[in-house]
Amino acid sequence: MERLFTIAGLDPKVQRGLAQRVRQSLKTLSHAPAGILLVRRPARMNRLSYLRFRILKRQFTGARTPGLPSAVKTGRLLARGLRRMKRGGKK
Amino acid sequence: MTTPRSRLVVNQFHYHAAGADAITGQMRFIQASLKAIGIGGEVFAVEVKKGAGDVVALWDPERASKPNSLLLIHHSQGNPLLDELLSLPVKKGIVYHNITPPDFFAHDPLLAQTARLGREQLKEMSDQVDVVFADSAYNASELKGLGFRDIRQLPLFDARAFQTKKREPRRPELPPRVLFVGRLSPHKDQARLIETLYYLDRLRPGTELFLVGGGDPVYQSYLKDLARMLNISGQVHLPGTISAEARDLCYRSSQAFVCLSQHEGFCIPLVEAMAADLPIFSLPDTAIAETLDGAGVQLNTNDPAKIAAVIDAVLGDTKTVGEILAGQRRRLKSLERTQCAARIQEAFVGLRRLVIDAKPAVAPSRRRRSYAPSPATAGA
Repeated sequence: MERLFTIAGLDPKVQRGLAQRVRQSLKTLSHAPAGILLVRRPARMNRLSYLRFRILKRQFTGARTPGLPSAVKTGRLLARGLRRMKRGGKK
Repeated sequence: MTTPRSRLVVNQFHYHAAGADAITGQMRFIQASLKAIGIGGEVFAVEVKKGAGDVVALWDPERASKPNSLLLIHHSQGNPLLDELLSLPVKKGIVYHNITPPDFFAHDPLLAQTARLGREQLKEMSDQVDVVFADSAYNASELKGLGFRDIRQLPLFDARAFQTKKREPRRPELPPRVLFVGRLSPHKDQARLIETLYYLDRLRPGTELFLVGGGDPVYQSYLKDLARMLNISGQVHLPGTISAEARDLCYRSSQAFVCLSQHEGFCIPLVEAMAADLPIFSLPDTAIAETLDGAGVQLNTNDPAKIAAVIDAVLGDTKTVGEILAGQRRRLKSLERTQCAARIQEAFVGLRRLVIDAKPAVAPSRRRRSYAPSPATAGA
């Protein structure tokens, strides 16, 4: 297993004990829900907030966000929304 | 009032000045240290924010170009007044504080442009300043790479002001608390800290994360959304810019200081955490390893789950925490040798000859873009 941390001057025996504890914690975490992947919109968040979040996530982390509309598609969606607003609602 | 002919004056300039700003703090420290040995000078800024103190004056080129004076230009971002500063008929010096790479500001073209301009200006300055200072070896190495010579290191703060304080043990009924202090900005990667909290909460339920510092409103809204997405928004606290007393309280009431920043020119909050006797977990990027010099826990991974596992394991071992704190106290003590007024005084006493005994300085002819035809081609 890769060395995940360094503490200068620490007794190698203590270091090994800590590494063992880290492995145990990682085992516990392997059962944690994969909430960190954030690929699905949670029910408590509206669509617009979710879209903004994903756009920002891509900008700040460079991470790929599957299903995020391209700039062209976003432009088309906005244009359609504006036309609907002019007409006075969805028809 | 006229300045005595033989007395050196050191004026300083930084575009912004603010109360909780490390650069403003250093300008005040240099001014006070030099005043103690009879070297006067003013601190100038263009944008003076609340809390910067009375010692910071609004930029005045006439006052900054009195005889026998040296103008220290603190450089940390694009400086719209750089041409004017470099054309003043006085000796000039640079104090380099590092500039965050523009790649971190993809979401904000203005910030990215300011950072880009700062780096371009730095290249231009290499042959136009007489004295070169950096506040860390990391910053000095960047300057060396750009062709600067005779780079000296200048203390950033007075380490004697950071005495180790005994931390109050946190009441067991209260949830554990993890702290980071620094501007909210993508290069400080507070988002990864929130992701780390998501995992840490599973190992130590109820753990809270305090992200102290104001800053980028877009990044702040992203951090809030991220906490909501992970269903831990009640445990992530973003109090913004707070008073020094409130910040001290945050240090005293936390169990760990975690720094996952990807770019730092020095990182004073690490020193504050050492003074607060708080175990530090950090990535060794840029100047962070230099500031800690082996103290604290160095993380060799940036995976939030693995970081959470390391924090949980270390905090669960009181003997190891004791050894980490002893190492941090030793590091804090050793900083007193390098971060002190005497180092500043030594650096500037040697400059008296350069500034005063030199021939009267004449404004250098700044190379400007000229669109007029040169005499050789005028008739062509």
